[in-house]
Amino acid sequence: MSAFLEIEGLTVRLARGGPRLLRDVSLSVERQEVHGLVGESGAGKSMIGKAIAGLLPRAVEVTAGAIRLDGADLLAMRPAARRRLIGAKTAIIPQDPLTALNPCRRIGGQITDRLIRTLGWDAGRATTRAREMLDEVHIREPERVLRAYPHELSGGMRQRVLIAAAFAAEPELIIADEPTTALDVTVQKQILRLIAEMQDRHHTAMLFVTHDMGVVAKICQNVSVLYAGKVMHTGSARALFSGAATHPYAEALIAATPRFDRPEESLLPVPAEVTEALDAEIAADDAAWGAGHAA
Amino acid sequence: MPRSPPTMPRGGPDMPPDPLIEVRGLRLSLPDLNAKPLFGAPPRIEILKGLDFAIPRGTITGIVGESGSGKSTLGRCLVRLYRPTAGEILFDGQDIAGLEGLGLARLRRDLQMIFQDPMSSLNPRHRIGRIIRGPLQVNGLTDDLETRVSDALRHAQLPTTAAARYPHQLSGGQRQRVGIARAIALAPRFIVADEIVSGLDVSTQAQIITLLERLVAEMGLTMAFISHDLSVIRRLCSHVIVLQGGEIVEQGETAAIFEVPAHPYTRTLRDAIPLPEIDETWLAVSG
Amino acid sequence: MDRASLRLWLAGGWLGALVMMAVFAPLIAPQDPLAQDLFLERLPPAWIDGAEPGYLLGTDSLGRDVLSRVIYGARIALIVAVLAGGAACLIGTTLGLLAGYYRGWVDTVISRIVDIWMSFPPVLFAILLVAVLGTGLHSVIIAIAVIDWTRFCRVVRAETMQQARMEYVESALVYGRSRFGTLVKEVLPNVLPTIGVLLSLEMGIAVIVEAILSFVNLSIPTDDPTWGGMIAEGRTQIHFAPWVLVVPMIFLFLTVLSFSQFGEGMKDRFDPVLR
Repeated sequence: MSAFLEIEGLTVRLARGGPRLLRDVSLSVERQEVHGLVGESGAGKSMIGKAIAGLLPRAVEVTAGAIRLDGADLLAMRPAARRRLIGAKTAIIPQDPLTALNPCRRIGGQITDRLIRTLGWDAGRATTRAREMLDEVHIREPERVLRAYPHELSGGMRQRVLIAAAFAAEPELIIADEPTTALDVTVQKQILRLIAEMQDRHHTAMLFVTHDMGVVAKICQNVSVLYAGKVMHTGSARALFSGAATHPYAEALIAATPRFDRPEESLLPVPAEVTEALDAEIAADDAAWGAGHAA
Repeated sequence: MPRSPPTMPRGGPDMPPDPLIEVRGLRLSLPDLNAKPLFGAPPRIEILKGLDFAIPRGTITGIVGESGSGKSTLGRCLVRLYRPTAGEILFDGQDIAGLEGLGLARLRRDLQMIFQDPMSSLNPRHRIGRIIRGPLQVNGLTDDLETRVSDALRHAQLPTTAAARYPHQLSGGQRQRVGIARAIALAPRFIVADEIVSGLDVSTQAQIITLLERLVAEMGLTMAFISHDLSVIRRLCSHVIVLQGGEIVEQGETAAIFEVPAHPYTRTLRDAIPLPEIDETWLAVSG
Repeated sequence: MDRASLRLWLAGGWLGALVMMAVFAPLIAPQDPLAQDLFLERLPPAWIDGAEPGYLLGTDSLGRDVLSRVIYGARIALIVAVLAGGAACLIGTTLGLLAGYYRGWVDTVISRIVDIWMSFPPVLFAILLVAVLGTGLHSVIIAIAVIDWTRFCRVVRAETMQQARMEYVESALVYGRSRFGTLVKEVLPNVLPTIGVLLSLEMGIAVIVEAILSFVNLSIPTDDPTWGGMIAEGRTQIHFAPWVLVVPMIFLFLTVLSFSQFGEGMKDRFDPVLR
């Protein structure tokens, strides 16, 4: 059986002949796998998530590649059919729990909306489901939270609500876009644990976008490392963090991550030779691509 | 049990004999504007609840805590952006907690601050050169102005051409270097750095940390480094103060505190950090 | 040329032309705008049968040249735009900056005044003011400034409050700038683009208000040509000589549109943050 999500040769660039933002990206996420997508800001990791969800901004265009969700090529579908498929099979856990929730609406409606709209459930069934989901994400008073407005909840609670909402419709793929970046470390740990627990219970495939190698190590089975919109390395997290031969850039990112147990051997700046080699690779790549695309 | 009792005598075992900053009984409360009644003064929320600590000369002292711990408020008290409600802040022996007017103005050169988000702390409509000239001009350091500006840029490892640019034309790391350049341009004696690496990529973070280490050593600075990230504090700071809910739960030398955290909160904070290594038990352990 | 600069050039071009017309009106205007000649009444514009050479846009019911009158009318329109718009801007911006930056009782007092001010119907307020001050250009300018400063005050206050929360303000205070110095040197440059856009909008509004007051005969008392006055006169002639009404209306429309487009265009072009 092929992977649930397969991205093949995805190339995205700024519209009207602008530079490429994603360069021939290929990656696959198996059913029940948590796949880490790691890179620094501007590497294009969020762009990949947006491309899957069909939320690319107007200023960019896909020039090549395929995104197959359960075998169906999203980029070849009509927009309406694509939206339906994405709505039925995927969900997003966003980075900022405050802006992701509508401040003027109660939590309950924001969870049930999707169930009613996408799955065609009636309101009663959807509300029961929302209550169950809040229970599942260990929210103590689900009734109260369903009636609450977002500002009445703490940051950690809001992120729990969003996780409940993401899993409520039993999606087969969840795109988690830096879901713990805005949280305190102690809350981050609880949320990571919750995401792992929910993913395990619902057997959901997950694309986990993050910049934090520590988070990758704790929650992902496989990892793709991005630099300047290009996948530099894909492999198992176990191999990556055990120091088995991976990729100099991936190793440099790990060495740059601060760690309290080895203060002198962490927070190491990425060596200039590594970035120079990467930039040379990107430049050569662009030259080859430019030659092929000279209009 | 907190490692240090709240009323630590001067020159105690953990404290250097002659600190640059010594804080005694520092309290700050602010009016709670959300709960403002129709008539009368709003109730006050206590943000800092009686802090006692010292910052030794020539060191970087970490102030760590989660959101709501009061760490940023504490930083703003130390540079006297806020006036404490009670307590003393001794700067080189002089109590600056209640200073106003000229006395405070004279002090400004010596106390500087670097802010978390350079997009917010650098005036978006001023060029970098003007941003760095500001503090120099206000403090009357107008001789060799351009030399001072380019020195500050060089110390922060920025090209002098950066002076002609606007903040949004620089990268995140460069912007934070401008924040550093502005703070060191006055050659202050004490700098508060408020979460200055938390918005940066790890590779940039590493460069900024290295830069700070060098600047502190070369310029004989004393620094309070506010952060939520214990790993960065472990690397950078010789001393650390752990804040929770406006109170110090633990303070002392960083190495000692990390090896044997005396307070359960410190342990929780430490154990919540995801280290970049495979550890299947990490998510399972409660905390 | 992209669309944004095209917009700026078109709007700026029209306003520039208007300024030239106002300054050099005696040289440009083909006729004396006040000269009446009942033999030449209601002549149509040049492209309609029965037109007379020398009266490009026709004449009104008293035989006065419409083109010359709109050209002279630009003088009043621009004087009002600049003086009334500028005065409203100055008052409103100053109070808005103070209220938004210092907050506390300063804000309470200023905001209360604004609330009270805005609960008067503006046109009625203007008519009342002109009635009290006496008709005339100066009363029109004073009336517009006194009424419309609140527009600036509210927006500038909100923008200032937002800017005052930025850390560059704290940074300036830490390195020793005074509170007021920080307001002027740090906050003001960041509010300036908004003020510019508001000012250009207000200039357009001032032109309209002047036209309204002229229309109800509360502006300048002489028969000096104003666009509002021309529209008022043209209204009675609409069936016989529509051009008397239409020409000043087109001028008014283009001018108000150009002011707003010019302000937006200048912001897009010269705000360093947007470049």
